[in-house]
Amino acid sequence: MSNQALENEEMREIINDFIVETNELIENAIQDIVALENNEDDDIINSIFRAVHTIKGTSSFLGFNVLSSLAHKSEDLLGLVRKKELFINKDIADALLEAMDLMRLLVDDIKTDYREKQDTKEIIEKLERLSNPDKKMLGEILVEEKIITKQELESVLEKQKAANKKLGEIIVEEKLITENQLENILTRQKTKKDDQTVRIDVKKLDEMMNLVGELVLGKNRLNMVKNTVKRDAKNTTIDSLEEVTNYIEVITNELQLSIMKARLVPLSKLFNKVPRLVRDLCNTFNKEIDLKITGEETELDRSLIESLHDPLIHIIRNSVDHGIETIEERKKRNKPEKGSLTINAYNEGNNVVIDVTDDGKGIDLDAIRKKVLEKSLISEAELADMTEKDVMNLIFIPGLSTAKKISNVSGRGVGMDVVKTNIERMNGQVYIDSKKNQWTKISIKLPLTLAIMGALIVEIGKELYAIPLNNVIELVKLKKEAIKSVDKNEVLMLRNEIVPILDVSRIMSLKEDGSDRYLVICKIGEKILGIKVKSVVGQEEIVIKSLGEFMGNIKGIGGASIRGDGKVILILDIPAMISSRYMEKINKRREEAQEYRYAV
Amino acid sequence: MNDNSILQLVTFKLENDEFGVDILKVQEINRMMNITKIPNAPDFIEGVINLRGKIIPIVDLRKKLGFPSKEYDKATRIIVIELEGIVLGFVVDSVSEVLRIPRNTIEPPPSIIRGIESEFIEGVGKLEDRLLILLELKKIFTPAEHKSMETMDIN
Repeated sequence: MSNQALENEEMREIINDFIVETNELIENAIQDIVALENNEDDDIINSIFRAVHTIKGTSSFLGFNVLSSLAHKSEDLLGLVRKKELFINKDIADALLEAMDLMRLLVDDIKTDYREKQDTKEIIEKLERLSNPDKKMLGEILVEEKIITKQELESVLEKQKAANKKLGEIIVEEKLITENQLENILTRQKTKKDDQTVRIDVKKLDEMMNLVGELVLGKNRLNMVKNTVKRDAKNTTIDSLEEVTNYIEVITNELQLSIMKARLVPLSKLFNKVPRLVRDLCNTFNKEIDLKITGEETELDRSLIESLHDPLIHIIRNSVDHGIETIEERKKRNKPEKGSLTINAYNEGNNVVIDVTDDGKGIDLDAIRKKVLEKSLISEAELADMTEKDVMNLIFIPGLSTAKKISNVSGRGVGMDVVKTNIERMNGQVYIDSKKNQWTKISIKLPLTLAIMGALIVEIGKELYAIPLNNVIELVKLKKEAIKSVDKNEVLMLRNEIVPILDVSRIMSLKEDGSDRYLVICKIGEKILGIKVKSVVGQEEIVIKSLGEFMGNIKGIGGASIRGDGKVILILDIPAMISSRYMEKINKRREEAQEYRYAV
Repeated sequence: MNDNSILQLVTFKLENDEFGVDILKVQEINRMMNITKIPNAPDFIEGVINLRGKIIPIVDLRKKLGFPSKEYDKATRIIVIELEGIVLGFVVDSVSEVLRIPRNTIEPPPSIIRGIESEFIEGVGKLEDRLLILLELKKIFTPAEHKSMETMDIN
């Protein structure tokens, strides 16, 4: 590699570090600015100030002058707030947040092609208008850090006026600090509490996860071989083989668990963005909301956190836009003027649950009923059979938006169904519960990790399939006489509960030979159903593999896994099956309604 | 197609016809292995196989090209091919040989060859005593199928 190429490589690395760090700083600063509005605390101001200052320093060092000057202007404004020459108000907070957003876009630009493309003129003027631009900040930091005294700073400032040099240079010349110290100030700000952690490239973690997945497969295979050998041979060495296999099994499971844990990220990473979002939404809709977030320390797989972002934001937007009423409406209903929005996350077994609760007007069941009938999404008879909860959960079907007014935030009818699809894609579930005029609660339930899961291996038709264990609640023997027929659908009476039976072989267009002997009872949210299977092989840890881009979207199949003998088995996607069966019905009704319209 | 450069082709048989694909696109050739059927998949998708820990779809080239289907036997092979980043396996009756032929012996396809739509055909190679049909596998999938290849993604 030539010297120049090496340099470029190094430079790229430096810039990548810079991007990661700056994004973090911006994120922190945004949270702090929002917090500052409620609580004008010196520590918070200082923390924002330091973040912006670091951005200014590092970006100008790397020659990103647009970003640097934007940070500079923000810093000026913050300096005045810090010195109590200005008091934080909505204008200042708005301008600062706007500047942060623009900085983030600039960092994105740098990430794409190292060029800053955003236009910062307007916001810089705004910041200048709000502040008094002729202050220097470095001295103040040094005083703050107790490196030099105020008197020393003043004398240096005097000298600066005469010498027309940079403050830092003079301070170094005066031997108040060394050059190293000056640099240390910047670096110290960068690396705050990083002693206990190491940054790892996500790719490396993914690779480890894949390897552990392979190891689990290898272990399963070893187990299979061991069992075969055990059947065939009568040898004492078999005992030690068994021992070793068990040992490897234990270690593999633990290794798998700890690597999985390494990928877990606290939800605060996601929740931190919420206060800002709620604040902006409140501004847009002229509402006042008290936001409470608990359980942000709950951990979830990284990739899940990323995919959770959009659905969660959508739910929150819905709550603020449609849920919580305007101040006037709330007064009329004798509710406190300030609405409340609570986000609570907690662990439940191997799942993480996130509840978003608002004390708004709740779900209007009649409006939903009217809408589904209007759009012929469901028949009147069916609707009459539904419980209130079922009706509420209809908001997740496509094409239904009960909002009377379409705002630019929500209400285009492409909301909740997308939320549901996205969450189900993560093997999660989402439900809604509400009381009219009092509250609405939307709960998201997600598995801790996506890559490895427990599954029940069953035989349907001639093939083996895996059913995710977290969907399964029990296994019953199929007795012909226990099966009844309701409205042409088969059901099973199980301890006074009616369990609809799903004939997977029919849905999946497999041939059935009537020899199904068991029923796997699955529960998805409030819905329960039984799946007919020929036989049950057992419970196994399976590694989920994608079917690939080429055929990843087959109805009812959630992916594939490789068993110990190297054969591929398919994983049934139970939520999709329920909804596909459900959707078919709904679609059929819709078609019928359309035909009827044409006939008339 | 006037230049004299040499084209290396993997040739294989379907029914009584001989076909060829550019060797650079071929990753490997495997014996028949256990294929897991995928319900609800398009008709020409035979299923999926486990290729050293990766799951790849298998296309029955007979079905795709409109030949009658045939029982797999000892000669049946899976040709693993990479098409624009997607790895696919193609089931063929048998793999014959690797041929080197000059590019200028290849002629553009006639409008219709035995029911195979000519868009799948890059050209026809004239050998001493027989003809070789050069397949353009990228085009084997109709535009709609091709598009769905890009948009389908469960992640």
